[in-house]
Amino acid sequence: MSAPTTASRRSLPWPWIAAVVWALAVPFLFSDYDLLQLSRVWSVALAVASLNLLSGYAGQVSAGHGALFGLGAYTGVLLVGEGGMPWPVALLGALVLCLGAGALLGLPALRVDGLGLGLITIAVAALFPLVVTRFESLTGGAVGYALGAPPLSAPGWTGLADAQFAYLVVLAVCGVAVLGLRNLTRGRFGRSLEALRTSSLMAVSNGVETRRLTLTVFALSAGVAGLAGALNALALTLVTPDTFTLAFSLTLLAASVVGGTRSWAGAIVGGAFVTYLPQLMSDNMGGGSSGQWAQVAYAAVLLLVLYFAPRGVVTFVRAGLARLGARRTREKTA
Amino acid sequence: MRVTERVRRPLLRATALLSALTLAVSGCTLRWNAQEGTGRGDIVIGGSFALSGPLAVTGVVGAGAQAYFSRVNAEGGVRGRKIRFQLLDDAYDTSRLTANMRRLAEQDGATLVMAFGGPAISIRPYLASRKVPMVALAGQSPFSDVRAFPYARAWWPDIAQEGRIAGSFLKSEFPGAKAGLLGLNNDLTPSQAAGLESAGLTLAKTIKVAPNVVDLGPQVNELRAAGVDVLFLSVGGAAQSAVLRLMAQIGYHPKVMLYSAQSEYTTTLKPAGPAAEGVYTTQWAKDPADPRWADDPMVRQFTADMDEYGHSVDRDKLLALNGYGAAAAVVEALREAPDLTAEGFLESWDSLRGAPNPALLPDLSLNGGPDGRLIRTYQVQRYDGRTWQRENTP
Repeated sequence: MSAPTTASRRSLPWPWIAAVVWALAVPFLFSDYDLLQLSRVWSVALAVASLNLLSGYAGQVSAGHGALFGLGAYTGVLLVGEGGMPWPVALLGALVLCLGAGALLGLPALRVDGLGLGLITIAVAALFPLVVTRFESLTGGAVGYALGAPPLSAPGWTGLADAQFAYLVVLAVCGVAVLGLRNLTRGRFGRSLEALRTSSLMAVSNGVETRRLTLTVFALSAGVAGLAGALNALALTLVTPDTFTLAFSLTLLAASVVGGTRSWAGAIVGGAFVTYLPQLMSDNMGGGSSGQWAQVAYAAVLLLVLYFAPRGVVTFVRAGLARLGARRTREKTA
Repeated sequence: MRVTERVRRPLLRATALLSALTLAVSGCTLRWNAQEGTGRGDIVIGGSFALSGPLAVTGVVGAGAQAYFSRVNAEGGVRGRKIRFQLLDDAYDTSRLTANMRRLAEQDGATLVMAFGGPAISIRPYLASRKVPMVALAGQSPFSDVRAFPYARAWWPDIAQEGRIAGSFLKSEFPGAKAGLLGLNNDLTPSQAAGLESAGLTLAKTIKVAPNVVDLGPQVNELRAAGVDVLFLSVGGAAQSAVLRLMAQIGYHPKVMLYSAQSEYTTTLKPAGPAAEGVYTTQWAKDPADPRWADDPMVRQFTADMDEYGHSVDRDKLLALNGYGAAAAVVEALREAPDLTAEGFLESWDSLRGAPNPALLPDLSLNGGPDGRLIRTYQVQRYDGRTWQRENTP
């Protein structure tokens, strides 16, 4: 029989190629509203991916990624609205600011871990909307900040509608970012993270500079979350403090768990889960009680995933497919 | 030809992935199917309200509106066309409101949309760019700026005006009293404070709390310590009645003025029991649970419609009748409009004169004006333990 593992590693990554082709075809198939929703899915997926890097790979707790997402969102929108900058500069600005914020957030992580760190991040998440509302002259306060013209507008030579262009930009940035994160975790950096996650003592004895690594991974995770927030905000052209509450941070955590905390494809599942579930409930259960049903469905999915697929939906499906493939092979040799 | 192991596993994965992705977009509309504009078919009216989340008590406006539109359809519709009311949930979250509005404007071809509260302020630029009128069930002052946002109208009166009327009443009734404001930490409170102070009332203490926090002992004690003897109470939900009860329990009896949208029988007055006696409010709408309106034909019709169209659980809610009245105003404007375009509707809304409405107090009527609103008068009322009694205002 042919050798399984080494051969499959060198084979073409069919699934990813198929996914890329599909994702590129989408803007030419579906309506502007659906493209907006999908842009939201991708940007939330990127935020979940950043959380996966921190939690799944580095083993750190964060219930504050909603605030980082929000920080990136406000930075992006204000750079365009108040600073008059083009969207690439706004995205870069959001990334850089949140890199710095993440490094700051990583400082308490050097002293505290587990529950203590979780509580610190919860505090950050809870404070964020209040702080934003307080600086009303800059942020627009409770009413939020709306951009007049859509910043992600298609340049004339492309012949695309604004929603299509925005979707492609979001897709491209998220794709590159997730690819970057994936490669990072497969290389030397990833191995250091693994060591750190297993035991910091063991990591130190193996020559890993744990303090620098912790700050770096926090900064990176925050930067990517901020980039995701900026993308989301530029697509929606609107930010309000109520969107980035503690509940949203916890939603991102739930999305990370549902998709699989170490799975990049799982981040996309998580993003879709967060964006589509309320809408799905609203469409199928009718106006009045759909809100409550959405919350029930949310809790039910979370419980089912934790019980039957604790490593996440994607890992569960992959394991299932592997068993399916192995069974077919066994039947052939029998 | 055998498919080798090398290709099979990734192929299986690719198939699984593509199936998942296709399933994910199965709910999406194809570009060439997305409809736009008002056809000859149903009149599509969109509604995005907080049907879930911390402010879900406000979602019943949607139920009231739905009941009214359903009855209009049962009686033949508007100009022979039925109304298709798309009720969506936004949980008071602006992202979801934006997505809902995009869907209603771009995909469902809505003639006009309805929304609730503060988030609707932020959605005005988008709707203006799409030329879709919005009727906001909101009292925030920015909605009066029709010149900057010609496609947005507000159903509720300006709360700064409510604050002005409340403030001048309190000032003349209780001169020299120390005034305080206990409200929510959202966009509502600044407008209320501005209104009260414009009447010459000085607020000695303003305290803001998060929605749904029911235990407000520390805040009440702070008000008492500051010597506040006239209080404008606007915390909403269960907290509204809890504060009244608490104050009675600790023997603190300031004169209380309730925010008009939070002076319901069912959620505030009944739960507060005897502690609610003597509270004031400014009112422009009827409360279906008030015994005064038990025989009012329009309120009876409202109750019948709520029962008929599956909303009997909300038949005695103030906000439900409010939404019902908003729908009635919309239909009145549509009926009087020269044509069913955005501009036609807006022109008609602004030209309404003396139109009756099921939600309004008996001697009030709808009158359009330069601020885009239809109601400009309030009555100050006092609760005598059983019903509201009108107070004479200067």
